[in-house]
Amino acid sequence: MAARAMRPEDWVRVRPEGLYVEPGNFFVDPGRVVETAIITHGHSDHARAGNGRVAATQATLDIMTQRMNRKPWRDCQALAYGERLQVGDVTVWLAPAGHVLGSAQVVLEYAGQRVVISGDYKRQSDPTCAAFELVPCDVFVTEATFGLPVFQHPDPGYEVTRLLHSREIYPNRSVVVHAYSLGKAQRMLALLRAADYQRPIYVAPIILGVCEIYRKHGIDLGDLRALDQLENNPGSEIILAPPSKPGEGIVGKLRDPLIVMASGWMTVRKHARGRGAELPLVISDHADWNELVSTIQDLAPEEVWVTHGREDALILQTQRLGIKARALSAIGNGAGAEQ
Amino acid sequence: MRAHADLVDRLSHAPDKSYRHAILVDYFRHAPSPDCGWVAAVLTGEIGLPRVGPAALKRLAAERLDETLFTWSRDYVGDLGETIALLWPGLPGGDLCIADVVQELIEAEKSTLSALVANCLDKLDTRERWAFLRLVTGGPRVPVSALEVKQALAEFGGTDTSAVEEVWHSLTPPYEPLFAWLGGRGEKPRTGGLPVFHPPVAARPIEESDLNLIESSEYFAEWKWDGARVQLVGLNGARRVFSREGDDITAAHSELSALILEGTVLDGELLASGEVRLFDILVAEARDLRPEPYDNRRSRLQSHLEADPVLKLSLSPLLAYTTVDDLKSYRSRASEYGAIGIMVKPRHVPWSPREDWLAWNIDDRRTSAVLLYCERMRNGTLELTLGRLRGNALAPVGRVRADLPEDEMSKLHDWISENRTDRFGPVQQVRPDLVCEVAFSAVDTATRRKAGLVLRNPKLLRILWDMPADAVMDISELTGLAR
Ligand SMILES: [Zn+2]
Ligand SMILES: [Zn+2]
Repeated sequence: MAARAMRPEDWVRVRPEGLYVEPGNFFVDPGRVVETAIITHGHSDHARAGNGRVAATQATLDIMTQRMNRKPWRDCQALAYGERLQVGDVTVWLAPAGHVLGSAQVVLEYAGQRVVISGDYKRQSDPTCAAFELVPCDVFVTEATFGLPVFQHPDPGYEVTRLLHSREIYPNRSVVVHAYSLGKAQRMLALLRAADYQRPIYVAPIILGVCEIYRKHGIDLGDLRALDQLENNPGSEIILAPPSKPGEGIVGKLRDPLIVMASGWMTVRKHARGRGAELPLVISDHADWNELVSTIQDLAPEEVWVTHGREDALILQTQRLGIKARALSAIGNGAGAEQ
Repeated sequence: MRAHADLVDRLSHAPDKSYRHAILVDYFRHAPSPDCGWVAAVLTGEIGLPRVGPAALKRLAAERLDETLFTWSRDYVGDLGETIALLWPGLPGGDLCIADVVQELIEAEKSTLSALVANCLDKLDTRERWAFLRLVTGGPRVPVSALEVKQALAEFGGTDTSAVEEVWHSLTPPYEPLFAWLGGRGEKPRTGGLPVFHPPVAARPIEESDLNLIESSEYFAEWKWDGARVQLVGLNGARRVFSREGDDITAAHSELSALILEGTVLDGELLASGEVRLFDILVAEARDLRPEPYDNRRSRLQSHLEADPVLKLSLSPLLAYTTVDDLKSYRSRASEYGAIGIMVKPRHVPWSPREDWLAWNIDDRRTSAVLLYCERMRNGTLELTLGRLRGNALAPVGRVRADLPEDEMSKLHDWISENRTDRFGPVQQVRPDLVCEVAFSAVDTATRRKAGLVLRNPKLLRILWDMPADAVMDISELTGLAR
C-alpha cells in the first residue's frame, strides 16, 4: 500500500484521445473515436461521431442524431440531470451548464473525491436551456474561451434593442443575423421574442432543424419560416443564418442586407471588422471573464484545471484567489500526449 | 452617453456614406437637445477638445488596472484606448450625458484633465468608455465630414443644406435654436445675415458614358487646378474663407480674406503660390446667383474681376474645344499648366446640390516610399513624411495624410509606437522599415530639398506591410520624372 494519498490527477488525465477517467475507462468529450464517452453538449468540438457507447442528456443525444451524417454511436444512454450512472469504479452524473439546450457539466466521483468538468458554460440567464448549477468539488476543470479580462459581456437585452433599432434606421434593408446554428441562433430568437419582436423570423434550414429539437423539448421560439418563404424584397425582415463568406449563402441573394454578428468575440473591434460585421453584437453562450472568476470563487475548489481557450490569465487570477491552478494539458500528460 | 456611443460605434462600422447619413439622421431624430448640438459640434470639428496622450493614458491604466492582465490584454486587443475601455472597472448606469461631458472637457485645466477622464470612465459602460476615449484621444477620427453632418441635419429638419449652413454659422454650440427649428419646436432662427458657407457645386470623376454627351455648346471645359477648393465669402461686413467641407479657415488665410469684396461669395481653387483661380460666383452684390445657369454666373464672375482686379484673384480660363479629342489633348498636357486634369461643367444648369461637374484627372502615377516621420495634427489626423534613398541616405519626397480604414489605422498606430526612435514635439521619428504605396500626379524639382524633388499631390494608397524597406528603389526613378 503506497503511503501517498490518491490525488485527482492519478485518476483523471489527458490522453491523445481527450480527457480520460482511468478507473471507469472512459473519456469526456473525446476528440478521437473511443469505446466509451460522456458528452457535455452537441457542439462539434465536443461531440464527435463514431464512439462505441455514449452517455449524455436526451437533448444532446437528439441534437447529435440530427446533426451527424453517420451513425453517431453504437449504443447510447440518456442521463437526466442528477441521475447517477456507475461506470467501472466511477460514479458519473450530469449537472446543467447553461450553455445550450442539453449542455451539462460532468461530475465524477471516485475514492471520496469529486472532479467537475464544466464543458462550455455560462451564467447569464438564458430561457432556452437549464441554468448553470454550482457543484462543490475538489477539482473544477473549467473552460476558458473568454479567459481574458477584456471579455465582459454586456446585457444581451440591450444588444438586441440595438438590432431592432437598426430596422428603424434602415427601413428598407433586411437584417441578416449570423449566428451558429446550435444554441446562439435559438438564443437570439428567444431574445428577440423577449424584446417583443413578434414578426415571422426567417431562418436557414440547418437552424430550422435545430429549432425543431428545441420545440420538442418545450422551447417555443415563435413564428419561424423557411428562407424560401422570403419575398423578393423583404424590407426589414430579420433573417438568421450561419456565418458564410461574403456574397455566398442567403446573403449573396439579398440586395443590401445589414450584416449583424452576435458573438462574444465582437467585444474586440478587430474581430468585428475582420468578420465584416456592420452591427457587431456582444452576445455569448460562454462565461465571460467575470463569470469564470466568480464561479471559481463560489466553488472554492482545492484545485482548478484550465482548458479550452486562453489559460494563462485565468490561471494567474485563480492563483491570486489562493487556489491552485494549472493548465489541463499539463495534467498526467505523458510524452507525445499534447494536442 | 449610450446614444452617443451607439452612434460612434455604428458610424465606425458603416461601409459607406449613405449608411452614415441614415445613422446620423436617426441620431438627430432621437437625441435630446443639447446633446445633439454638442455631438454635431464635435463631429464637425467645430470645437476642439483637450487631448489625452498615450503617456497619460498609460499612467491612468497603471493607477487603476492590474499590470500583468493589462499588458496581456493590450497585446491581445492592440489598441491602447480600446484596451482601457474594455478593462476599466466602470459602473454602468451612471447616466452621464454627452453635453455635460463635452462642456467639462472644454473647461478642463490641463492639470485636472486626467482626473476628469478617470472620473468619467468610472461612470460609463464599455461601449461608452470606448467612444469617450476616442473623443479625448483624438483618434481614430469618426469618418464623417462637416458637410455630411449638415446634410443629415437638413434631412432631419426637412430643409436644405444651405439653410442649415446659414443658421449654423450664425450660432455657437450647442446650436439650440437650430435644433428647435429643425425639430419643429421653433421658428427658423434669424441669422442676421452673417457670412456663411454656401455649399459649392460638387464634382465627380468623369465616366466613359459621359464622353458621348460632351459638346462645347453644352459644356465648358476648364483646367482642374492643383490646389485646395476654397470659398471666399464677404457678407454683412464680415469676411470668411471656407474649405470645401465648409470649415472656417479664415484665420490661416487672413491676407486672402482681406481681398474679399462685400456682398460676394466666390468659389475657386487656392494654389500653393497663394493665388486663387476662381471659377464660380454664388452671390454678387448681395444677390443670390445660384438660380442662374453656370454660364451666366461665369460672365458675372468675369465682370466682377475686371471691375476690381486683384493680383491674387484670377479667373480660371475656359479651354476652347470642339471634340472630345481636343479635351484629351488638354488633359495630357495639364501638368505643363500646373493643372492635374480638366473639369467639364454643364453650361446651362443652375446651382444644385447634385454632383454636376465632371473631373477628368490625369492618371495618377504610383510609387512606393519609406515612412520616416509621423506627425499628429491638431485636428487629430496623422501626417506621414515619406522618403526615398538618395545616395546612401533617406531623403523626404512628400508628405501624405494617413487616411486609411480604421483597422489599418490602428495597426499603423501600433507599428509607430513600437518603432519610434525619437520624438520632437508632435513629430515622431520611426525606424525606416515601413513601406507605403502612394499615388501622385507629378514630380516637381525642389533644389532646396535634400531629395532635390518633391511629389505633387501625393496620396497614401495603402501600407505594404510585407514589403521590405530595402526593396524600395532609390530616387533616380523619380528624378527622371521631375521637371
Ligand atoms: Zn459549446
Ligand atoms: Zn466548446
